[in-house]
This record gives sequence, structure tokens and C-alpha cells, in this order.
Amino acid sequence: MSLIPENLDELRGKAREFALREFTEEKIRKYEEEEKYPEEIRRKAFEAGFLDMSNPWGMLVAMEEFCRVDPGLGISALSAAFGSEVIMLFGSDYLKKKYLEPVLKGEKISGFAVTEPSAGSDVAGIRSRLERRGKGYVLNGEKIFITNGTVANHFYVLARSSPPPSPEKRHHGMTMVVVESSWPGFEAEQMKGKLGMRATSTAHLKFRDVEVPEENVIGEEGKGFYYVMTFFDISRIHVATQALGIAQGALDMFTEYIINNGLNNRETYQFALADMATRVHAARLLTYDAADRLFKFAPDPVKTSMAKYFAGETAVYVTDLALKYTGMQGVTSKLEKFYRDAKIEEIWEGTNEVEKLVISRMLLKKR
Amino acid sequence: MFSEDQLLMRSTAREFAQRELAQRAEKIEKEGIDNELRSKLASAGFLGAMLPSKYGGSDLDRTSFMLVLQEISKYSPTTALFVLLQHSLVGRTLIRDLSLAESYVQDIVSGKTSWTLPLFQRNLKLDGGRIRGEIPYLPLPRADFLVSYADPKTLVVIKGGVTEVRAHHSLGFRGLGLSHVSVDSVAEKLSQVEVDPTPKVLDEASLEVAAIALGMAQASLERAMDYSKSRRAFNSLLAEFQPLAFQLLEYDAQIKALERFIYSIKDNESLEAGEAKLLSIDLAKRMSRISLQVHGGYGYFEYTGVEKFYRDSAALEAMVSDQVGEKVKLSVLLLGVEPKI
Ligand SMILES: Cc1cc2nc3c(=O)[nH]c(=O)nc-3n(C[C@H](O)[C@H](O)[C@H](O)COP(=O)(O)OP(=O)(O)OC[C@H]3O[C@@H](n4cnc5c(N)ncnc54)[C@H](O)[C@@H]3O)c2cc1C
Repeated sequence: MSLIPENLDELRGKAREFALREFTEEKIRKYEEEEKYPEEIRRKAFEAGFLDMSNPWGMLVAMEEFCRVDPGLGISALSAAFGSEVIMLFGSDYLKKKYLEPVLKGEKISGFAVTEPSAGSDVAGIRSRLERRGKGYVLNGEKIFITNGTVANHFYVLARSSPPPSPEKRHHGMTMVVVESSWPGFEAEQMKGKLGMRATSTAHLKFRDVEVPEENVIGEEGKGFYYVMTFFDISRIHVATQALGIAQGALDMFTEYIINNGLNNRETYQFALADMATRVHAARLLTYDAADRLFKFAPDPVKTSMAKYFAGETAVYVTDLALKYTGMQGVTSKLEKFYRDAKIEEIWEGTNEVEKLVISRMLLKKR
Repeated sequence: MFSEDQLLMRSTAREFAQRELAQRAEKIEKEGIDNELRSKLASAGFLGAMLPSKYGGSDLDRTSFMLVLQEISKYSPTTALFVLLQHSLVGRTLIRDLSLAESYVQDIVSGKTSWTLPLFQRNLKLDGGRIRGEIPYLPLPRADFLVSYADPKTLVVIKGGVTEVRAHHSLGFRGLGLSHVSVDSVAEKLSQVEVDPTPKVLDEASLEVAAIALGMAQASLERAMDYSKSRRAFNSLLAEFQPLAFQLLEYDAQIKALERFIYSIKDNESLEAGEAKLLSIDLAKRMSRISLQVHGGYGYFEYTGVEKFYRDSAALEAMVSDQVGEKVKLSVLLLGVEPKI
């Protein structure tokens, strides 16, 4: 049984064609070296219909195919609506119209801001404060490592709105709000010098007495933590897909290396290839299985975290093995970039360790 | 394990690295090794470490030199590899024909001029007094002098006439640079003797390379340990989480065992030296991956100073060995049979 709807071949082909045409060697290196967000490519990808949230399988396959050619450009092009799921699921009609619509029309870019200098994995440990003032709120705090940080028009921001009721209930009293980057008191500073993914924008955000109107609260006050976790159950599938694309791309390059160098009959290379291909296939099955459940409105966080964890690890494993056997050619080719890009997949949207915690806690809870 | 002299050398190198490299490491990656640092490395006696003192060398034994490389590598693998390259130039290449090269040797050892040599194959031809051709992988492409074999028997010094065809996007050792260059220059012949034609300078330096990789693994472990004792998540120190602590414990044991193994080997050409090299590079790769992971999002940024070990260890693997060729050679030593299939 194939987990993926058959009618995706055409979309996959289209996505691959787009990536091969637009992500030229020259552009890949330019955006990487300048550490610049590829606005031009985002626009083209949007116009070509790849950022279509009404077609989730289509987006998934596009992410895979884009990352297979270049992860940095691919992710930037397809993550312009980052975090929008929280509005779709929990936002008011007002928020949907004001913030979701322009993003879905490709006119605006969004970001999702949870991590802080002193708390990442431990989401409940964040310190940003959202305080009532008059009819609205005032936001103070900092966010770090925020994707789309220098280019987004607005952010979905998690902050503490009331103290935790008890040490066990640290995740209570957190609220998500929409904050526009043009508002007074907002500041974004690009964080340069990443190991990889340099074509993605990453920023340190600061909020100093930023006034947030009441209607910009997403869903209910105090339920922000829950919204973030729900979002992760969706976004981790996309992250697994990024990792899958990276692994597949490295496998492509390794296969080409074997053929170009006439190494088809050497067992060392045969075994390495078999090893990589097996893991890539397993990662794909895990990812598509988790996606299939989500797209049928029955997400399974255990399966999602398994996919994200395994695919991330596979991206690192495959790029590493490919480098090992391609020597100087490898470390001076596009493969070296894949190796650097891949490592983020074990960190963002929940580290490998956090995914393992999710998997085991859920499994134990079920019993 | 070490004599007093060796321990003294280690602490000298450690102090040097802390003083001169700790703050500068990131800059070295961006701007390379400048004249000032080169002079300091020379004054510390590192550039001619194992050379006899009559040539300006420090007369160190190999163990001491390895300790120097290991300590430098903890802060700047680029600088450690630079020192090894300069040393390979004098120790393994020029010194072989000192009558011609003595003044050059002194220039290198004293840090007066900068030198380089091709890492792998080169395609150079002598034509009368000129030398022409290409070098696909040249570190330090802007060095004052280039030393290369024109053919297996002829060593030449080339000054000028080296044009960069392409600067490689290299995964690691960014401070050294790595370029594909073309050469068209006047060549000064240094030797016309039977020398080992091996094109890979680092091949003969398994133990030195192992020491560099060991330094990377140790630094990665030390940083992860420090961070795990200061960073908190879920109201606990990272070091309080068993999987994280146990992993660091396991790697501490592996690193200690490897260190003893490396320093117990006497012969750089032995099976053990080759094994130690492969093992230490592998360990450096795995340990740096863990260290980066322990640092979470911070680990992914250059300013944290751990991602370079992740890049450099993988680059080192490519630079010093062709995985398969090296393993075939070592397997023959181990098994007496050549694994060809
Ligand atoms: C390029 C980039 C882009 C990013 N984009 C975004 C973004 O758009 N929005 C956003 O909100 N965040 C973003 N992040 C942040 C990212 O999600 C966090 O870095 C990640 O969640 C880890 O948090 P941390 O960095 O604080 O590490 P920490 O939480 O401090 O973790 C450090 C290490 O400890 C481990 N650890 C933690 N708890 C445990 C435990 N209980 N048991 C065992 N091990 C544990 C972790 O797995 C990790 O290895 C981004 C990060 C990067 C690098």
C-alpha cells in the first residue's frame, strides 16, 4: 500500500522542475554567502502555486523536492506562511482576515516566535510578559533564533500572561498574540553566521512595551502553550519533509558520484548506497504516514515525532556518509552545504531529545 | 604517560592557545592567519618544532609536537593544521635537501615568509626554467612561496605566477583557504634526488593528524560539559538529564582511551598509527556532533565556537585520507590480503 496519493506525481515533477530551474548554483551560493532571504524566489514559488495551504500533500511534496535541490532556498520559499496554522485553527475571523489572508495571497510573510535566550525546549520556561493595560496588553521580552525574523510582517508570539498556578502547571498562563513588525517597541536584528541554512532569515527579536490590542489575542488567553504544541504536531511533519528532501538530495549526489567514477562494482560504495537508500525510504514512510494521519484530521503526535526525529537524524547520517566517501570532491561540492544544512533538522521544532520525550511520554500515557 | 619536558611543552602550548587563539579563533576563520600570528607561532618555536636547533628549530620529540598540535587544535584547528603544514614543508620536504634549502628553512621556521604546498595531486610540468600547470587543491593560496614536486624526483620552489582559478567552498579549515590554482612561473629546482613521490603530505603524519583530531574531540567534549553545567531547561541543569550525562560519560571514556592509544604508538608508518588516525577523526566527528547538539540552537552559530569542530573534523577526514585507499592499505597490514572487491 502506498501512503501517498498517486495523483501527486505531476505536482512532484512540477516542483522538481521549478527547483532545478530556479535554484541555480549561482543563486544558491549568492544567497548563502550574503545570508540573504531570497524574496525573488519566494515570490516566484508563490506565483507558481507551491504555497497552497489548501493542498497539503502538494505543499509537502514541494518541500521535499525543493530541499532535495537546495534546503536553504527551498525552506525560505515555502515557509512564508510560517505559523499560520495557529490562526487557521484557533484565530478569530478578524485575525484570519487581517493576518492569514494576506499571507495566503502571498502579500505578507509571517513568523512564529516562541524560543527565548534562556528557554527553547522548555517552552513553559519563557519569560516574555504580556500584561493587561487598559483595553489591550503590553508585551515585553525577547525571542531568539526566529525564522523569517527580519522579513516577516507579523509574528505569532507566545508570552506569559499570568504566573503559573503551581510548579507542575508551568504551562498554564501563557498566551499567543499577533504582533506586527511595524509597531513601536519592536526590533529585529539578524543573527548571522549560521552553520547552514544561510538563505533563511534568523533574528533576535526584542519587544519593549509593545502595545497589543485585545483582538490580537489568538484563541483564549492562557491557552497559548496548548496552541504551540498543536502547531508543532503539524509543523514537525513539514520539518521531517525538509530533512527527507535533504537526505534524498545527498543520496542523489552520492549515486551520481558512484556512477561518474565507475565505482558501481565496489562493495564499499554499494553498501554505503544501500544503507543510505534504506534509511531514506524508512524516513519517507514515517513522514508520509504521519502526514496521511494529519491530512485526514487524525494527527498522531507519536508518529509525527517519530517521523521528525528519524528524518532529521537520517539527513545528518546520509550527508555524513556521502561526504565520507566522496572525499575532497565532496567537501568542496554542494554536498558540503547539505552537510551543514542538515544539522539544523536535529534541532529546530523540537530537538531529537524532545521528540524522544514526546514519543515515550505519549506511549506511556496511553497505557 | 608523558615526561616532564613533554608536560612543560603541553602547558606552554596550552597557555599560548588560551592567550593567542581563544579570542582570535573566529577571526582566523574569516581572515586567515596573519603575519603577526605567524610570527608568534614562530617565536613559540612551533613552526620548526621537530627541527634541530641549528636550523632554528625547537628540537622537540614527536610526542611534544603532537601535544602542541592537540592544544592548539582545541581552540583553532585551522591554526593546528597550519602549523603541521609548515612543519611538513620543512620537516618532510625541504629538509631533505638542505644544502639548497637552508635559507628557506630558516625563513619558514622564523615565520618570515609564508609557504604552502599542494594537498593532493598536482599537474605541473617543468619546461626549461619555467613551471606550468594546475593544482586542484592548494591551501593557503596566497602564500609567498609554493613548494611542490614537479615530478617525483624534482622539488621546486615557486614564487609568484600562481593564479587562483577558483576558490573552493570548503567545508572546514576556512582560515587556510583552499583553491584550484594555475601556475606559470620561474621555478627554482631544489632537488634532483630520489624522494618519496607520495603526493599527499599529510599521509606521513598520521600521529600528528590524530593529535589534531583528538584536540577537536576534547574541546568539543569540554565545551559540552561546561555548557551542560550552566544551561537550564525544565528547572534542571542539562547535566542532570541522564541520557545527556551518560553520553558525555561514554565519550569521555572513549577520548581517554584514544589518547592513551595515540601516545603509545612509536612508528608513524605502522598499522596502529593509521588506525589511530582514522579512529580519532571519527571520534572528533561524533563528539562534535554531540557537542553542537548539547548547545541547542546556540550550537548552530559560529559565535558559540563549537560548529567549527563539526565542519573541521569532517573536512579533515577528506583532506588526510581517501577513505578507501587508506583502509585498503591498513587492511593489508592487518590481514595480509588485499581487499579489492
Ligand atoms: C536556525 C534556527 C531557526 C529557528 N527558528 C525558530 C523559530 O522560527 N521560532 C522559534 O520559536 N524557535 C526557533 N528556533 C529555536 C529552536 O526551536 C530551538 O533552538 C530548539 O527548540 C532548542 O532549544 P534551545 O536552543 O533553547 O536548546 P535547549 O532547550 O537549551 O537544549 C539544549 C540541549 O539540551 C537538550 N535537552 C533539553 N531538555 C532535555 C531533557 N529533558 N532531556 C534530555 N535532553 C534535553 C536538548 O535536546 C539540546 O540538545 C530556531 C533555531 C535555529 C537554530
